[in-house]
Amino acid sequence: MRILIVEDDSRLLTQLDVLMRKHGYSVDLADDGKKALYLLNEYPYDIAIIDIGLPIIDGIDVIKTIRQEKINCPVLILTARDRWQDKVEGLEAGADDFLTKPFHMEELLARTKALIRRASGQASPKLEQGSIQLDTLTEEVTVNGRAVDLTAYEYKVLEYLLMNQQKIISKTELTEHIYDQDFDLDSNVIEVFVGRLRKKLDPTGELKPIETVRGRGYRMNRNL
Amino acid sequence: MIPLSLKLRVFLATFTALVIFVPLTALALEKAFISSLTQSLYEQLRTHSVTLITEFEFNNGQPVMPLSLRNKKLNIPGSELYALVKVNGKLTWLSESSLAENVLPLPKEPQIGNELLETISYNNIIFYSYGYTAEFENDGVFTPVTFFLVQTSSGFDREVAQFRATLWYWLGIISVILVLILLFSMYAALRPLDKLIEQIKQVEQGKIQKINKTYPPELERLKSNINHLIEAEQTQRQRYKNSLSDLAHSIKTPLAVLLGQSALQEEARAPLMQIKQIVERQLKRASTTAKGLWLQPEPLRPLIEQIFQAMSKIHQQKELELTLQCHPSYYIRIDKTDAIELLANLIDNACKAAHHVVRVSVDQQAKKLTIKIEDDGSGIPEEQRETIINRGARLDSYTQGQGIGLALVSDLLSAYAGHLQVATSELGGASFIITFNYSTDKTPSTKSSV
Repeated sequence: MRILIVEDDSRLLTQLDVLMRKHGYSVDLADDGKKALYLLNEYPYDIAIIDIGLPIIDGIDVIKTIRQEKINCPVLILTARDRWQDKVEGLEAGADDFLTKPFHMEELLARTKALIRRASGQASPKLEQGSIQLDTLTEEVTVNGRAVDLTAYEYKVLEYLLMNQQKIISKTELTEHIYDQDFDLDSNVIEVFVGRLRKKLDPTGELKPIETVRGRGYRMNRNL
Repeated sequence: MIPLSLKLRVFLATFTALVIFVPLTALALEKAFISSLTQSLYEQLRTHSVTLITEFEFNNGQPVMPLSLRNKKLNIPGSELYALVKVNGKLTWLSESSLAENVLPLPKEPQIGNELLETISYNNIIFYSYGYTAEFENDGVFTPVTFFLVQTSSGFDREVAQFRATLWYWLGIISVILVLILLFSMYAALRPLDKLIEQIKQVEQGKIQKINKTYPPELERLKSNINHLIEAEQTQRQRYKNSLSDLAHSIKTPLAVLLGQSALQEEARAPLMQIKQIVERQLKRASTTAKGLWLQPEPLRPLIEQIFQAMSKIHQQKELELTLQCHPSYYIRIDKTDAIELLANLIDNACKAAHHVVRVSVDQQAKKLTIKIEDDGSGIPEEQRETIINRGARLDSYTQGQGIGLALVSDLLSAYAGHLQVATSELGGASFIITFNYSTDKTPSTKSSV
């Protein structure tokens, strides 16, 4: 999952960056509203965590602008302004949830996961397709109840595919959602990840959990 | 001492002026009239005396006057005009007109060639007399002869009385017209003031943002001063809130960093959260506007709808049914930020507690506003209700994890003299009822009921 964090306090920004990376997110950072707008226009984020009090362009204005531009990624507001009026205005501007500073990192993680899940239409924190289960809270993957050990990138690929079971995911889309902007994009790497993932999920080759739709991308096998 | 109203002051001043001015005018005019009348009377008497002198002669050393004089009035007894002639200081002739009179005054004789005007009071009658002494040759001797023309004051008094009647009649009319003009000008002068007072009242009631009508130059200055004051008060209030908000921001971001430290010990977490809550509550308390002038009445319906919209996002997963019963004309006289804080805290609590339904109903009577927030959750046991209401009583009374929502609600209600009551809702859960009593009804007139 690719995430944008916008926060003007560098210490908090670094802390959030470390935290989110640790939990398997590809993270892009911005420390003012202008940069945030640029990045949101440029990349398809799965969620944006935006502080309201930002230099250059205020957080609320960033949200209003992206909503006008039909950028629909979920937005979680971080705010030190704990007045309900600010929260109400933020939600009215197009944010999906808010968290008041100071906050517990666990709560931020939980809200982030919930928002991503909600945006993809998943009600439960457990993503399932046949015998494959992925728990977004514990970040564990099982096949037929057997735990599967995945690398961070393999996990990201599987999570994204499971979140979007109904559609075909192109390599570009997959790349954009699992890497952050600093990563040198190479679609062959995706093929390698998918190959490894197939082997780990289906060592015997009976399930065929990930289909390749020729020329278009990948899709979870709906007949599992 | 009770200060007099402007209207009364102006009225008293003009009334006093009128009471002094009208009689003085009458007096001056009467004086002038009497003086000119007296002057013209003496002129007449002088003319009569000239005629009389031409009719006098010495015949054989004796003074002679014709039997019938040219001036007919002197021939008619009781005509009130008399003539006397003194030769060498002795009364030698009286006109026929004096026959009916018993006694007549004898005026003093002037020097030869001189005239003498006199007003004589005699037997309670006023006489006007003109005397002139001329020298006549009588057998080669120059003899002084004095001619007197005397007139009683009755004709004179009649004219004065008639003048006086006419004068007072017209002065009466003029006074009435003057009073009317004064009243009108007073109304015209004070009307802009009334208009200004009315507009200030409207600003107070929040019907208008600032004084906007055009006023005479003297009041324009006052108007702009008042407008400036209103604006300054609003800006000041906003600036105060913003700086408190900035202060909150600058304290809480480092707190967030501290709480985010993975090396942070669990014992340190609790006091940090306590600092967070104290900062949150104290700053909110400080920024509460409380009662004061210039508070806009906030329409309640759009306000609650806005909060509902936010709640439906926050509590999206619960798929709550949020219902609102509130007439579009209902309003709350609280600063908007505080109103949202108050209602959103209670509605958020209800949403957290509810299983499926949250209902907000508003009722506004002439002097009472009631807002009821209900949910279908598990409700609040009776023994805990008192504690909940009193949660805001002491600033340090909340404990870790309790949340400060209701404490803030308590603070806001005490600042705006509102009242909170907790009951059981028909929906099955809790019912939080807040009421505001407006002791003086300064509210807009739209008081319909649903």
